[in-house]
Amino acid sequence: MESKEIKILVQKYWDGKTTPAEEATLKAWYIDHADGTDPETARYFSMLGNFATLKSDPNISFELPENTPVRRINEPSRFNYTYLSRIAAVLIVAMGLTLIWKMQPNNINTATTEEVYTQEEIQQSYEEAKSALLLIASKLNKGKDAVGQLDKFSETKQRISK
Amino acid sequence: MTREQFNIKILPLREKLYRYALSLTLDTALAEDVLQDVFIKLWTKRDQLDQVDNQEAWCIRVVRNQSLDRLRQRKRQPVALEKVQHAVGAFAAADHLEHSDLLRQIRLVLEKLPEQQKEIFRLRELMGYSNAEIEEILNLNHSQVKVNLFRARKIIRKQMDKIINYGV
Repeated sequence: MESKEIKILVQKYWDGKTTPAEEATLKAWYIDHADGTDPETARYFSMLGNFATLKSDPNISFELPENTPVRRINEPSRFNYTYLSRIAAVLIVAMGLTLIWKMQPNNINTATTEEVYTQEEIQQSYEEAKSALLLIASKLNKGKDAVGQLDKFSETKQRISK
Repeated sequence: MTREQFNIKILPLREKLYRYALSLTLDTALAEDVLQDVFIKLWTKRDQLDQVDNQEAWCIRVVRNQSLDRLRQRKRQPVALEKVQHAVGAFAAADHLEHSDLLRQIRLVLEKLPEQQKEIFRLRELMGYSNAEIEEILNLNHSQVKVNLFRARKIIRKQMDKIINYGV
């Protein structure tokens, strides 16, 4: 092919109108005929052409194992998930029922306070609770005066605005 | 698929699959690792291969996924010294240098392109697939492939003009 034809083909290539066969011609031509008039185009097409000739290392062999298991399409999985999910559902229901049974008033551990704590401990906690409540009660009325002052303030403000 | 059928239909794709892996990884040693992984994978899925209409397109997709997995793995792991030695020892020194220069040029071209255009460029310009084949491999429609290929070439042309006119 002459360089004139090649130039037409190159233009066709940049316009996106070449076929893969024409592109192969371009690549092959530029590998053999780089004339130096358009070094960038020559370098580009010879790069593409040279890539197409690359080969893998011939020393690498592929040893395909004889007994490799084959996964077939639609082959049932080794795990039967439906069966497993049924077992899980039964277990959940059983656990739920056990919990409900344990929550029944007859089955709850009904040991009385007297059986768990000594008389002294009960008395001590009573005293502590009592003193805590008294402390809270003594502080409760503290804010009341401030609220009263606020009421007075708003009353006076209303009078002034009238 | 029997071993014989596999040897007849799939093994001859070796160089094509290697080049595609190379266009993705731009690393000869990594591309060879991908190729080995892919053949083992294809062998274990040989029964699925029987039911595929376009086996080559299917293999190309397997290579793509495997290459991307390998690249992700490599990002996470530092390169071991034996790997580097293997990469140099895989070919004769002259071949290796020649390949490196070629891959460097391809890397320069590819890095100018957006992701989808890169993918189409690899398949069309480096692998020589037709637009129809690219549509099947990438699950794109006709106009997507055509427009992206045209745009990719336009970017490359512009870059080349810059180099010629301004020496950039």
